[in-house]
Amino acid sequence: MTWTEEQILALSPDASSTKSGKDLAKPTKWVTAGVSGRALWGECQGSGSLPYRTQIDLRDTAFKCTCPSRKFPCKHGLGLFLLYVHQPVVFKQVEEADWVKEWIDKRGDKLQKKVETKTEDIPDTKAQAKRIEARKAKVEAGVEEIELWIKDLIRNGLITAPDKSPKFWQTAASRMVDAQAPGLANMIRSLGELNYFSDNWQSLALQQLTKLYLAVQGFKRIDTLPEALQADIRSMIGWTQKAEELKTADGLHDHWLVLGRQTEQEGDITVQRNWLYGVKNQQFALILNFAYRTQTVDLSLVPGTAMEAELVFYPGSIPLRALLKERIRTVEFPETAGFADWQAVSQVYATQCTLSPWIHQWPVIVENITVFPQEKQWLLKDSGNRVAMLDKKFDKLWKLLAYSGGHPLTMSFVREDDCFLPLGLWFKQRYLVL
Amino acid sequence: MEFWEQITKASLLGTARHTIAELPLPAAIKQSLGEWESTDKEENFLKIAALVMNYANAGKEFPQIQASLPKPSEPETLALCSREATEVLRRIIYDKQDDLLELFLQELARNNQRISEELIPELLETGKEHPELKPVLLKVIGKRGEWLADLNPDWAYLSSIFTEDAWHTGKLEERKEVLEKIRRQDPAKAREWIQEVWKTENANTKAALLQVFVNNLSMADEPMLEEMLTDKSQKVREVASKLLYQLAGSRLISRVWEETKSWVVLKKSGSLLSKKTRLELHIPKPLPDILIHSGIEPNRDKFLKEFTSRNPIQKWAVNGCTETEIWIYQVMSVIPPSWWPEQLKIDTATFVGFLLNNDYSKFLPALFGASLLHKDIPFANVLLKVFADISKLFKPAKADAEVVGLKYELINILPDKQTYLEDLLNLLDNDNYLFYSYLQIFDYEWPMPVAIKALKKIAEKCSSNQYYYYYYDARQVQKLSHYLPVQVLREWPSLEPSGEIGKARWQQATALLLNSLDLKKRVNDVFS
Repeated sequence: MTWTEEQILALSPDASSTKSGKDLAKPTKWVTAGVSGRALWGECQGSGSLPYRTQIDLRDTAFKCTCPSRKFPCKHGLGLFLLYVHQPVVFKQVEEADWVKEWIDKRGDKLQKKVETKTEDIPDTKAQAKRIEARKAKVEAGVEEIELWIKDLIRNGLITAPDKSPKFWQTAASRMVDAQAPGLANMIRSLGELNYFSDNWQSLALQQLTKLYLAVQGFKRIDTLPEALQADIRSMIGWTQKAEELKTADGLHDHWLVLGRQTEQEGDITVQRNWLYGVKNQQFALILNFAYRTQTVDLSLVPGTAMEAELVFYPGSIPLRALLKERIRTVEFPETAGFADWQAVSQVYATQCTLSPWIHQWPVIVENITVFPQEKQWLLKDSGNRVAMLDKKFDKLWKLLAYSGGHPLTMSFVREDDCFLPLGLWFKQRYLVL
Repeated sequence: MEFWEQITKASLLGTARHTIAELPLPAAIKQSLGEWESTDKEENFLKIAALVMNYANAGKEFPQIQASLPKPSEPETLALCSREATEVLRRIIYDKQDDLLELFLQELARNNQRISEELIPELLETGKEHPELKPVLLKVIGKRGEWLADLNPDWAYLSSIFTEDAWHTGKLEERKEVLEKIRRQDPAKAREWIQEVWKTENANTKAALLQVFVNNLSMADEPMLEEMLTDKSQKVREVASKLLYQLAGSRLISRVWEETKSWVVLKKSGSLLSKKTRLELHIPKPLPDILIHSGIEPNRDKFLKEFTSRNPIQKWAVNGCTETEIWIYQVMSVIPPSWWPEQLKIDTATFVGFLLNNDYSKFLPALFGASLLHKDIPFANVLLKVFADISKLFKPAKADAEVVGLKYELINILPDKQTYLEDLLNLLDNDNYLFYSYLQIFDYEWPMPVAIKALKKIAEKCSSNQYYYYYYDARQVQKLSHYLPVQVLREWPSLEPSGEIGKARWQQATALLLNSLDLKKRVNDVFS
């Protein structure tokens, strides 16, 4: 695959890594630089006595570096990759150094082992059923407890919520972790982490509490609900489904566009959200990847690229989260039609609300969007003069404006609450990641 | 939304302080209440909240606006540069190759091309730190760039609207910046601007703004500056006189000259066979009022106290002057130096010779200063010819680096400085840091033989026992990329020192230079 600078920068965990990576994309920063059919490597003189050894597995885009950074990929990985794109001549086609060969071989062995283990695993169904029952009992007890907690809050009024100590939220969240309901624990944590200085914290707090309450109520009568809604509730509680099991289901075959990626740090866990769109089925998908501490996060989905692939969706009333079942080949990124205007987005959203009250983030592609400022806020206007708010978290505003020049563009977004975070745009028949 | 707002307000108070009956609810929800309402107040409230939340979300519409949008960017009139050129520019920006950036932008402007949209924000950001790039930036950012710059206050330095506004309403620094910009573009307009506001400004502002007139200073400014010599503020008078002293034709200089031209005389002595001529100073006492009013300080102690020059040679010179000598030192610093030999009816070399041969050498720094002030090329040429002798005289000042500095400042005013380029290369042997300090005087692409000679000197140093890493700091060596032609790349293998140590040092010292030259070559290739 031919890499572009935009695609590499899309792998960067944050703006400071991007900047440092660019600074390191110079031949002088690298004592050695080599490339083989499957790997890219280099030694970068850092502040230590020995140079940092940086390597990239080109087969499925994985990074490794001896530097102490906890960011992934680190600035050395980005710098080395950028240098390769800018000046491939700097990299000598040589035999892999021992330290490179060792890592690359090990990665190959691991993948092989994974496949073998999968085939060897014979589940003990009896023990499994027992475990499920035990967990259900624990969750039921936890749900009863948290229902009382919610009611206490509502009885005394949310006016006191901003004054609650972090311990107040943490204790309730920990109880849910003990009750094996990590999904509920996360919802409580996000209530505690709400920005209580914002103008609309009252509405956001009540919404979050209401969603928590609905999850609790849903679980209490789960057996009476339709199957898709049951899956939603299980997911809200924090029941995970094994990827291997899911992959045995039929997938959705399509040309999938990788619209964009968001990477966030949640405690010790790096959460990576890849937003995809299937052109033929007009279906959006979210592929989540996680990495704990220094674990390497999967970087094989490159924003701005497209692939023919089969995706399997997690069950739910509005399928969104998916797994990559099979990647068939890389394809050209096609011109794509989106929603004609915000009105069309509203209509689809209204339908989604009738299916699930827990919609949090949702991707959209909308045509003819013009970005413009109004009273310190940037707005997104459609062809019918309806406007949506640009997410204040968006940090590539000037790049977006440079492309738009005040003219309408087709853009992809992630909707979160009432704001829209741009992922990319179509400019001169090309999709550009922001 | 109003239902949700009411529910939110109620949630703040809590169910202990209000009843559900008080809540305004959508009719559909109100009707269904009876079906599931229980005796648990909290449960009822949360169920209603859940229903209203979904009701509000499902019915949410995006507001329609009638406001007029800012005008979009106009259609481009320049051709977009090639994809390859965009990649080269991207590398130049990332590598912070400021020299190459200017070269690249100039080439782009020469080819009537504009930069790619994606790099406009980064380039406008870079332009903030490099005011010298503004004129060329305006030529290559296209209509899209102009449009974008108007939207971002950080990039308003490119906007013409900003200029007028900042002049009338900006802070002093902004006003100075704007006035300087105008002064460079249209000196007469800058004069008009300052005269319009002169009566309403305070002394400090007047003095600060007036300093900007050093740019594009000409005799057209003289009447205005002459008038400012009568200002109430001494600070303003000082700035005005400093500016007027830079104008050889100013009335101020004429007044000082008329008063002082007879102070320096030639005294002939001895018999017919052994005739001797020497310089003498005939300075009247007290200092005439006309000179005091022209800014010449009569009091030696006060002059020394207020003497702000950091140059140790000048300090050494003035400290060796008596009170009357201090007066002539000040006069010699402002009068065009060629006027003295003309007045004495001798040639410049003879006049300088007199100063070398007697204890009047302390006036040489004043004449150096005046040569630079008036860009007196004939005088500068004479001083450079005898510079070896002059530097010996300056030994007591214990300022070898500054002595070299004086020389290169003089070279800098010469129209034909190439002859001194080889001289500069000699600094590479011992005074490396001085070499890199005065590089910019020879601001053109050096001929190949000179370029190769410079690189060979660096290579030799890398192999020698006298190698000091800090002398061959790669960042310093990189500065050469601006002056070396890219053709030196062809000769690169032959320049590399032979020994292992020398080779390693050479690679380290020239790594950044090599990268810059490679990029420079790519710039040339893109536009060839």
